[in-house]
Amino acid sequence: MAYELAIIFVRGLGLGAIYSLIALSFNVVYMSSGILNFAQGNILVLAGLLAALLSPPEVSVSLWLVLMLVVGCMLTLAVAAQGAMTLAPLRSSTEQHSWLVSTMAVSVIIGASILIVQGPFAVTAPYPFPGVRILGVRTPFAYLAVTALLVLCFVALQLFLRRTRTGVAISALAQDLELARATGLRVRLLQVVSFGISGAILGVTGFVAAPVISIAPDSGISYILSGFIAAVIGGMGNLYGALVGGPIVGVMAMSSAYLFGGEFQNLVLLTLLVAVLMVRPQGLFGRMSTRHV
Amino acid sequence: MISMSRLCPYAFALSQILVVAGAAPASAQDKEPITMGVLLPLTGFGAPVAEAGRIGIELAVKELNEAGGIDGRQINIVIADDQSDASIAVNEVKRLVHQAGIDVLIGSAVSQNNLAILPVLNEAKIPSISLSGAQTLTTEAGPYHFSLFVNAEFQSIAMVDYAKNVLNAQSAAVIADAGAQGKFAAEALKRDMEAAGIRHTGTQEYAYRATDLTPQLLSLKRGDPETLFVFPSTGEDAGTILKTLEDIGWEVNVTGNWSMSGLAGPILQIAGPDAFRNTIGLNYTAFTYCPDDTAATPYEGFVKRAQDFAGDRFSRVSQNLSAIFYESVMVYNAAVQGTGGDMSGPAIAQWIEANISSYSGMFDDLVASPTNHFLAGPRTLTAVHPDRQRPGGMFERIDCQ
Repeated sequence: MAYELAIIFVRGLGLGAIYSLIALSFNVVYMSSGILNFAQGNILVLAGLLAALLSPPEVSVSLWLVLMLVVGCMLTLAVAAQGAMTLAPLRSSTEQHSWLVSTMAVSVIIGASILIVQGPFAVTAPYPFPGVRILGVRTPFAYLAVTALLVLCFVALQLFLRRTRTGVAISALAQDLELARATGLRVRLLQVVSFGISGAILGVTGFVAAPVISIAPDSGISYILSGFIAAVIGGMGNLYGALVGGPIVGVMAMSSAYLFGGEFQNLVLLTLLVAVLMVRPQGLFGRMSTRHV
Repeated sequence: MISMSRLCPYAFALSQILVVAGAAPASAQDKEPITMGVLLPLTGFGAPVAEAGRIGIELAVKELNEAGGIDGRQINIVIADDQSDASIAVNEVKRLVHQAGIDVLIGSAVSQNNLAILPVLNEAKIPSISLSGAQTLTTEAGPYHFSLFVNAEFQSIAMVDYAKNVLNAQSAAVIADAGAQGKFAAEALKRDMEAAGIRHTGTQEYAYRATDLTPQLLSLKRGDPETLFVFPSTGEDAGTILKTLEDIGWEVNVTGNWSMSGLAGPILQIAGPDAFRNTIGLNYTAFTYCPDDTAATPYEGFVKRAQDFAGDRFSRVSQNLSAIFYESVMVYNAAVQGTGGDMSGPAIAQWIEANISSYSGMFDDLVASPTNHFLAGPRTLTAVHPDRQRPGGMFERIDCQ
C-alpha cells in the first residue's frame, strides 16, 4: 500500500501544483482589490484550449515555448481588460460587490464561447515531452512541468512584490487600500496590473498543464472550486499559503479516493475546508487583521 | 409611381399561390401540427450526446414531415437545454408542457434528469421517449415514459455473461461514474457477479470528467481482479480510464459497457490507438457486423442520409447515438399511427406495450410490457471489438466465426 500511496503522492503534488497556481492567481487579485475572480477556472481551460488549437500535432520544444509565451501574453492582456471592466463601475472594490456578478458573467461567456468555437467535446493538446517513469509508473511530464512552474511563479512573485516599486505598491494595497490611495498610489492601475499578472499565471499554467486538465466548456468550475479551497486552506492573500494549500488539496483528494473511494473525494475536501475554517479561519498561513474605524 | 401593368404579374403570381394553398389537402390543413418537445443536455457534461441527438431527431422529423407528417400532422420541434442539471431539466419541462404545449417529449439523455421530470410529464399525461439507462425509471415512476437505451441492468447482464463465459473470469472489479446510471450499474454488476459466482474485489466511483483516475484504479488493482468492468457515460472518461491503465502498467481484461464502443472516437483521441488492446465493449446488434457480411443494413442507410443531412456535424458525433434518437421519433410515429391519432400518454403507452415487438425499424427485438418500458432488452446487445469498426460506427462482433 505504501508504494501505491507514494505514486498517489507524486501525482497529487502535480495536480496540487495546478491548484496552487490557481490559488496564487486568486491571491494576486485579492491582495490588490479584495476581488475573487471567479472566471479563473474557465480562463485556465481557455489557455488549455489555445494550446490545443495552436499547437501542431508534432510540436517541437522551441515552438511550444514560443506558443506558451504567446498564450501567456494573450491572457495577460485579456484578463487585464477583464479587470479594467470589472473595476470600472466600482468606487471601492472592497465595499461594493458587483464584481461577484461580473466575474461570474465572464466565466459564463468564456464557457459559452468555448462551446460555440469547439463544440461540446473535450479536446487534447499535443505535447513535446513524453511521460516519465516515476516509481515504475508513467507520469505525464505536465505534472513535473507545472510543479516547476509553481516554484518559478512563487519565487518571481515574491521578488516582484518585494523588490520592485510596482510590487511594493501592490503589497501596500494589500495592507491598507485607503491609506495607499491617500498616499497617491494609482490604485486602479495597480489593480489592473494585478489582474494582468493573474492572467499571465493562468495562461501559462493552462498551456503547460493542457495534457492533464479537462479542456471542455464545463470543466472550469471544478478547477475554480479546487483552487479556491487551496487558497482558503492556505490563507487568502498569502502566497505561502497558496504554495502549500494546493498540494494539500491535491494529495488529500487523491488519497481519499484511494483509501475510501472516489465518492468520498469531495466530501473529504469540503470537510477539510470546514475544519480549517473552524479552527483557523484565516487559513494555515493567513494572519488575523484588525482595522481601526 | 408603379403602374398597374407592372403590378399585374405579381398580383397573378400571388393569386396562384393563394389558389394552391387553398387547394391543399383538407387533412393536412385541418389538423393541428404536433408539437414535439426535445429536451437535451446542450451544455454541461452531457453536451456531446446532445449534438448527436439533435441530428438524429431533426433528420427523423424532416423525413416524416416530407412524407406528410405523423398521421397527417406536421411536426414542430421545440428544443430545450437541461444543462445536464436535474433542477434545470424540471424547469424546462414545465416550460415545454405549460407554455409550448408539447404533445410528446423526446429526451433527456441524462438519467437523473429524467427521474426528476417524470412527475411533471405524468401529471400532464404526456408520453416521452428518452435515452436513459437507470432502472429506477420504472413503469410506476413513469407510466408514459419509455427508453430506447439499454438500461444498466441489461448491460450488466451482458457484461457479466461475457466475463463468465468467454473470459472465464473468477474475480472482477467495477469502476463507474457518479451519475444515476453509473450507480445502478455498479449495484447491478455486483449482484450479477455474485449470481454468476464471480468474486467481487472492489468498486470505485468517479466524477464526470475527472482529471486523474490513478487512485481509483490503483485501489482496484490491489484486489487483483481477473477482469475490470468499466461503466462510463462519456467517451472522455472512458479514454481517461484506459489511458491511466496503461500509465500504471495494469494489463487487465477490460469488459466495457455500450459507451466503450459507441463513444470510441473520443476514447481513441485521449488514450491513443492501442487503447482497446485488452478491451471489449457492448453495442446494439443493429450497429455491428461480421467480416463476411455484405448486405446493407437499415443503420447504414441511416448513416448515409444523416451524412447528407448534417455533413461535417455528423462526423463529429457518435453516429450510434444519433441513430437511437432517430429511432425514438420513429417509434413515436408508429405509436401514433397505431392508436389512430390518439396522442395521449395512456394510449401511446398501451400501444407500445402491446405492439412494439412487431415494430419494424432499425432495431430488431424491441420489447415492452406493463412492467418494463426499456425497449432495448438484453437480446439487442452483443459484445464487440471497439477497435474494429467500419465507417459510420459499425463494430465487429466478438462472436463472428
